[in-house]
Amino acid sequence: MSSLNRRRAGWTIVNLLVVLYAVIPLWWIISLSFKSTGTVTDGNFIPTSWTLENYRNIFDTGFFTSALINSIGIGLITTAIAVVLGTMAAYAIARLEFRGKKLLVGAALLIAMFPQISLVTPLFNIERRIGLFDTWLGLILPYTAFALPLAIYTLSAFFREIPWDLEKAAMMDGASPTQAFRRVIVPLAAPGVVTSAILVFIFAWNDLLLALSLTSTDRAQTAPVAIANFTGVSQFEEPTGAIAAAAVVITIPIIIFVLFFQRRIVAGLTSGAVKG
Amino acid sequence: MTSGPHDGDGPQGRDQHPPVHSDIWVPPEQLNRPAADRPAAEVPAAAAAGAGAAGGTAVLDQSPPAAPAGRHGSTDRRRSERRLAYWLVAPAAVVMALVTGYPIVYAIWLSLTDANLRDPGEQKFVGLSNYGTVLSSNYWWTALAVTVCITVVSVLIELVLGMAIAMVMHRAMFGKGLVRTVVLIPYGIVTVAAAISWKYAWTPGTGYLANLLPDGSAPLTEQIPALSIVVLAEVWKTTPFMALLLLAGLALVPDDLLKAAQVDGAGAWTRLFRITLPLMKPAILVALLFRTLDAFRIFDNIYVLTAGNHDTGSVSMLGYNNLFKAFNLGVGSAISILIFLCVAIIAGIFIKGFGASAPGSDDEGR
Repeated sequence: MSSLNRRRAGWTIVNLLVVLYAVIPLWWIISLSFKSTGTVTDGNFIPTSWTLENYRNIFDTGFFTSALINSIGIGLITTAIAVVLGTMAAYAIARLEFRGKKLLVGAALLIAMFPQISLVTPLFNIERRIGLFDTWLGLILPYTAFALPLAIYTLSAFFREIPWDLEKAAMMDGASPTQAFRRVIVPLAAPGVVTSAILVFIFAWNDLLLALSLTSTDRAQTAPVAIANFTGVSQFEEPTGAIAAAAVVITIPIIIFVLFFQRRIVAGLTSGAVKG
Repeated sequence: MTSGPHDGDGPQGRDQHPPVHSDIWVPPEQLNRPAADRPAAEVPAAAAAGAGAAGGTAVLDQSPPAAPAGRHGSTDRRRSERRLAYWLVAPAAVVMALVTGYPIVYAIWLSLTDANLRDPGEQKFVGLSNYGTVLSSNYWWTALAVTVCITVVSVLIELVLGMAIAMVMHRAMFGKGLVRTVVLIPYGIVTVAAAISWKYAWTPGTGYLANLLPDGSAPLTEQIPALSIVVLAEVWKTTPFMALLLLAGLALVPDDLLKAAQVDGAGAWTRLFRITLPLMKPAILVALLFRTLDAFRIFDNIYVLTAGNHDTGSVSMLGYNNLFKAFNLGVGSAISILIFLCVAIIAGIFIKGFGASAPGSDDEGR
């Protein structure tokens, strides 16, 4: 009995360590974001006085708000395009026979591993020339290209698991092809599509290098760029609280999302990479 | 071989593999086996996959090829299926080729010229001299050394730590759900936000970690301490991903085998090194490959934490600075191509390690 208790205590400690590992840096930045200007440098782990001042400040400067809008817009459009194109390609890869399938899969894998910096110089030059520099489209295109392998891998792994015969069975039971597709296939495929949409959105939301290189003004600058390059009103005072608040704003929605769709994301991440 | 377009897999394919489930790692060797005894008609495609690994532009050749010579019978159906497949695949292939294939070719061209942003009109062919400039410069070798150090150290730590966390997720008596949930927090955090958290944690006067250090130390302004912090930030953010990949591999190690070994008197470490790890080799290799290539292109953490000062810049940082501070397109492109070659070499080494079971080399036959 006591050995069971000891094991129980051991696992509690181990679990606690993992939780602390994951939570401490997140808590730290949240804590910073609620500290007032006077206490931000006190190094306390818990704010001695809580304030929303930092959050008010970042939304008062139109600069962060527009970056946030750019991030959301670019992220959503990228997700929509990548998921639609990815679904089409993944369906073909999972269910149809065609030549060049392996070529496509190999090329997608290659792009997934591609060092993005290798594209920054040429893309920068090309986009300036054709007027895509510092536009939404100028970011959506490269994001889509880099997200497609992720979408294709995740989706084709999901599609391979769908029992497609159910479609035939439904039609035998009198459903029309459209009905069979809508009532049988769509519900089965939806989890995979949602998963890949989440992964693609996180990718686009997270990117710094491309956004930093291919934008220059608030027309298309995304939130990570705004935060990384945030300088305060005076250059002698580091706007720690405001930066922390901005970081929290762009992080918390994603974390809630990730925790909410936890199972799907784990399945998607491992299928996308492991099955690759 | 395959009995019909809508069966997806051949019947043997189904028998050999367990139903593919996303939580289950299927060792690539197993997946590969049917590929070996596939009829000759499919071999060209396999060869093409190899070519695909050589350059992204190859995707451009997606135009429908002539009907394969070796196949007769039910060709109409096959052909219409193939046509549908090409229509479905084309948009994705075109986007990927346009955005990655074309620019990389363009970068090769730029790297052979003296193009720069100061006087855009002038562009002279200068041969390989940009490569000479880069390869004879200390900046390149420092950045490369920094990048290799960060990559090796952080991937090794991630492997050990990730393995430990995977074990916890796999074996914990209780709270598995909780652990599996919280490890996704680092994955979900935007890299820039996490980097800022680490930066302020180590900023003297502000941070809880800097306050633990002796007075007057500013870790982010010295090379080795700063690099350690970069590694810390990188490890923290990506270990969960590693752990999840390893967990998928861990799930494939049969419990019976471990129990049998235990009965035979094998200790925990012996079981880990003699049974678990060897059986997980494919999963470990895939995880290492993905993480190594990912770590090699490290940019965000360094940009936020040190901006590459005090000799802490990675090759990605160098490429970026060259373009936006030195405005030199030619040299910048040469750096781009060199980084690309480095990545190709790393990938090549890993693929050798995989043997024939590289990801993507088989695949979809199952």
